Amino acid sequence: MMAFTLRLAGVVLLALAIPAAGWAASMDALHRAAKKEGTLTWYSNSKKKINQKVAKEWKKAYPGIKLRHIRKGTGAQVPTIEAERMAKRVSVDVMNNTDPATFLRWTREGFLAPFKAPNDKDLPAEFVEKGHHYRAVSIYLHPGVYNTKKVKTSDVPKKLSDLTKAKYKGKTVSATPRTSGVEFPKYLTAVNRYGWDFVKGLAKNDHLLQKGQGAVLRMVQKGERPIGVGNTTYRIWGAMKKGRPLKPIFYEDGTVMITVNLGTPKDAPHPNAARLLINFLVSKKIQKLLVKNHFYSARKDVGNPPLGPALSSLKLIRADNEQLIKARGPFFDKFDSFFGMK
Amino acid sequence: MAQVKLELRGLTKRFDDVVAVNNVDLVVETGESVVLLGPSGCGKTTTLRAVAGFNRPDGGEIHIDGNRVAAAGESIPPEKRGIGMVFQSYAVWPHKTVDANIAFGLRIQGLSRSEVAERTKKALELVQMGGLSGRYPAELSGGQQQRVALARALVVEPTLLLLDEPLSNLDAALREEMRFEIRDLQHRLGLTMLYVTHDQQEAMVVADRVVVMNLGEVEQVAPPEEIYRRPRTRFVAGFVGQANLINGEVSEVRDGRAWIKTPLNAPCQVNPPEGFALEPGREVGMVVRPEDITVGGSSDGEGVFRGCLERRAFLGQNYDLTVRVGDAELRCQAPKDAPPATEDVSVHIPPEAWWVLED
Amino acid sequence: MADDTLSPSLAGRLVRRAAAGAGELAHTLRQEPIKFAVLVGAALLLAGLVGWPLGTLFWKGFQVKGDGPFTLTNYISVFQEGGLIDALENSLYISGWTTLFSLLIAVPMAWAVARTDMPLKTTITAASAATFVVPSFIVVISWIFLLGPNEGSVTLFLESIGLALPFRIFSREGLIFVLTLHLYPLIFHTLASALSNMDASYEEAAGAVGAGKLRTLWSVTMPLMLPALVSGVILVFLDSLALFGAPRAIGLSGRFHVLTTKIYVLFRHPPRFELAAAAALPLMCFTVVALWVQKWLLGRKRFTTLTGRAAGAKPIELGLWKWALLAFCLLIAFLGLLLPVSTLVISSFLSSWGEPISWENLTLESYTVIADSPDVYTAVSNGLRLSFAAATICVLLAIAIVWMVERTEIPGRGLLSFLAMVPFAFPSVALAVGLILIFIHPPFELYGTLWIILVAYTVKRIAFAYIFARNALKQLSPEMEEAARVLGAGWLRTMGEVTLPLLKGGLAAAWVLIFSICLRELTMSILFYLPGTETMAVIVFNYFEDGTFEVAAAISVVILVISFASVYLVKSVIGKGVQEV
Repeated sequence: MMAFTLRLAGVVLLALAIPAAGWAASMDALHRAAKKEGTLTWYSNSKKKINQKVAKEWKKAYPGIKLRHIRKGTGAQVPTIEAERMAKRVSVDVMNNTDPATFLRWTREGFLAPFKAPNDKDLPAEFVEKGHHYRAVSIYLHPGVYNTKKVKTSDVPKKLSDLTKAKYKGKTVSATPRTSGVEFPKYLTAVNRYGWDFVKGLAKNDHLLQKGQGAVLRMVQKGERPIGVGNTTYRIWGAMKKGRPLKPIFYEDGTVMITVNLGTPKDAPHPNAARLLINFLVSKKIQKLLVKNHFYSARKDVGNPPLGPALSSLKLIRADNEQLIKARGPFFDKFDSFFGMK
Repeated sequence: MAQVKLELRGLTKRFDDVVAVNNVDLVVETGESVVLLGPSGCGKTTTLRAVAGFNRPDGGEIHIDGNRVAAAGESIPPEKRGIGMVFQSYAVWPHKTVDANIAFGLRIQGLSRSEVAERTKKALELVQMGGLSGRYPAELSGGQQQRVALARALVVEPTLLLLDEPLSNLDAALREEMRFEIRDLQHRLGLTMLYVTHDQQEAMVVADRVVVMNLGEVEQVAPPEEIYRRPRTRFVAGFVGQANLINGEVSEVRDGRAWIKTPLNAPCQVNPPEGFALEPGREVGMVVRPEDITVGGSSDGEGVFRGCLERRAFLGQNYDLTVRVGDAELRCQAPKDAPPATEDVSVHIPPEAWWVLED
Repeated sequence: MADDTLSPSLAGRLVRRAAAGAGELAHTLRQEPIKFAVLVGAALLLAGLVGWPLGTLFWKGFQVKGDGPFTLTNYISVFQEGGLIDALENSLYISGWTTLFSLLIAVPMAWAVARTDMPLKTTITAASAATFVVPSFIVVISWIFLLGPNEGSVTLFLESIGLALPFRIFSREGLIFVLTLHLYPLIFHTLASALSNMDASYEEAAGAVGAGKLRTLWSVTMPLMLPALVSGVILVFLDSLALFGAPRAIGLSGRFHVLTTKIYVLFRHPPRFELAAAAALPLMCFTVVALWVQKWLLGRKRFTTLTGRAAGAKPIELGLWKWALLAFCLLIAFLGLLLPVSTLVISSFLSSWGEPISWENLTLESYTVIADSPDVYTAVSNGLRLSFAAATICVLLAIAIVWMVERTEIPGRGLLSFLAMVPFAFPSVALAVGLILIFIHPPFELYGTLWIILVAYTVKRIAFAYIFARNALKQLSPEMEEAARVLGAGWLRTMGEVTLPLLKGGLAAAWVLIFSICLRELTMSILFYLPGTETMAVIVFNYFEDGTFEVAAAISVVILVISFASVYLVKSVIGKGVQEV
């Protein structure tokens, strides 16, 4: 405890000593400055195992800069960071999570530091925020999922709108958009396409709501609800690789794509190490590692996940961040009202 | 000259807006046993607890052995007063053996192990509990538990022993036995005791002097017999023993005798009290004890009244009679041969049987 | 008119009270500095631990945004939120029934365990304590998969014998079922510890005058147990109001909100913690109401049952009825503990969870994963240390506070009761935020260390210790302590040699409850944790969320075994005493 406090104090002093411009211009200078900082903290929504693999590579690349990686799902991560912000003492250096709208809000509130990471240039422009406040560290697809033992191939829904049909009554489950970051874009785009009748139909069809993606997958896997309206691909493929009787449903009318964004706060305690990590995370090497672990990458030069089709072969839907921010409250309220929750 | 052990000067204690103890003065001398007697709520326990240091007086002072231990708003804690106390609930600690209960005070004093053991043993023998040292309180009877409590208080040789209704949780027979035992111990050990009870008989047995309290104030302080024979106030007369309380007006004073007009059907002749004078026209209260009234017997003479026997109850050792005399009812006692009820009887009250109250 | 005459006298009385109390405080400082230091220290510590974070939150509640001007906007906007009334209704419905059912279960169990000759008493007690150790989210998941309408094992079993569940798991009734089995131990333990402290002579006296056993129970035992009963009821009621995990898991599927899930909704997107305090107001009101009801019910009546007129408690002989009672107790223990736990145990040995149980599907792989994970060791060690420390601090702090409330006239005692109770029904997320706001800055820079978790556990659970200690002290005649004082023991020594040992039963029960409940705490731990400060529940949760239910189950089983062993150890170390007399 004592040691930690001392270290933190030292680090704060160091950070103060660095001029307001913060990070050095060249990568070498950045590395040197980061070395002086000696450590950094990374909140990641990814599994611990994956974070560990990344950390191993980091240690090889930047020995002497200790990477404290903390798995914090979006649900716990955003409140933690907001609490740190409110206390005016940010302790996170780098974070990535599945809530693109929050990144946009953070940018507007001036919370994030702009950083032209050298590796940003390898990402398509649509995956990098214009001011380089954040960029996509990976991409999730959000197809449907079904239990291959409980649902015959012929009964697998083709289109998202099929799910409101009577034959799927009592069979479907999804996370609620209110608490699941990746669920909101899916329902928002669905309502954009089909109108609120889609949600109403689901509700009438005894559709079951769960709090998050994990809970949905468990329901499907267990067969309690054999069809998940949507789930993240890395979860589905991860489970399939373990032999679970699951399969994704890439709906004919489109599959929702979500970016997992990556950024650093302006007041990060280790600004140089933070920038070093950001650049590192979008490097080809790490992106390849992520792809191997069932994530899609925004980079064009690292291929597709082991079980995943090429993105170009799918009809992809991407929600508009502006709409995500604006529609939020009223959308949730209306959504809930169809499910009898005022 | 006996030494003053405890002195209360104008002790006053309030709880919220209620005055529990009002301006009480009291002196207890070394080796003396003083009993605070009164009905519940009279302030006797509050007084005792103030002496013990469990409450802070709002006014007045408490001195023990000449040291001021409490004054208005200031009170040194109980453990610094060198007192012993026995509680109504015994308060023996169920998690300690009999031995450990008794040894507690000695251990606090930091005595050597062997001395603790020796004195504990002696204390146990003192209360006739020799063989029970290793027991837990739950294995003892109520009487035995109270003996443990007594031994625990005595073993530290307190300068002053306080007892708060120590016998009220025992059954009648045991209660009677323990009274004498406590009195005996007090004599043998030369203890100075302040003893609280609501039981007048207990008070009579245990006390050198009795302090009768009512509504937070002291009514009378006197030896037991004097309390009984010569109560100062109506309350004392009524509270201690059975008494017939008669109001009257002095009609004549002559030859060292006084005649009082009362609701009885004839004037009562009384011996004038010491300490204050009776003059004609003064209203007085008078007391006569049932056992001092003779029912039946000669039908005329000094102090003989005619009455009608209204009620009659056999109590074993005697009869309890109620006789209507004039407009008053008199409780009387008759030995073996009481007349049957609803009979006209003569009632004899000799002048020395009347006691004129001061207030 | 009435006001004119009333208010000055009331004000006058209050002023006089305060003056008297201040006088007592000053007097204590002069005459008994140690007692003063302990009591005032405890009061300040409690005020700091609870008042500071909550006060900070409320302060922020007056600001619309960060540093904005002070307004009531936040408080108003919370109460204008649609559906709050519905949520409130649901909360009351669920908590009310949960409390009632918990009472119906816990009262006979507690009586049977504390007072009768029923066999297997220790097992029943241990089982109901262990109910607390399993992380709530795991219990809820287990129930969902046991009672799920399509594939639930119990549902399928009942169907196979032609029966059906009387309720849907995804409904308010389903939540009541889960919560009842989850929370009844609160009443059970409060009551059982009070019952075993009770002077049996009361019952024997009633028996002597010919009252039957049931009659004695009703007219003698129960009234004396009123403080314990009332506090147990308050604990269950408030805890069921404050719980978040289970209502969230079931309420979402059952399509209803309760207060906590509604508050949660208010926090999100974007998180607005300044609303937290405002949104928690209804829950705080319930705390106040509960304390007030307790005061009103118990009033100035005396419940002293441990007076130092000791009498050995002879267990009541039940004859054949004891088997019926045992069957009932075992059924509850089975439903509350064994059923969900056996799901865990089975899952922990499966290679692929969700698949039928077969030889090919059985494996020890999950346990080897644990053996290879250093973070599990860290988490176990953190969890045990934190829970041990939190339980100990809670109990010690509570004794000082309770002693002050029950035995002195020091002013502000009511406020202390409130401070001890209010975090109990305060949403954990909000509390955690309040703590971060304070402990991220010097002078107490605890954020990121285990200390902040310790503070969080202590603050959240001090109410348990407070309630148990208060019941126990209410039962203890002051004369027991006074007897030690007159014999020359100072206040501290009296506390150590007389008060604490005599309160041991109640305090041990509180300690064990807090210890177990902290072991499984998730909501705050997950917000606080950094590498090295993981707790067991955090590890379980992370494995669980990563989709490896088998490993999560295996860790849960390990946690369960460790906690069970620790509870047993503690019980056997401190559990000897009054009862064995």
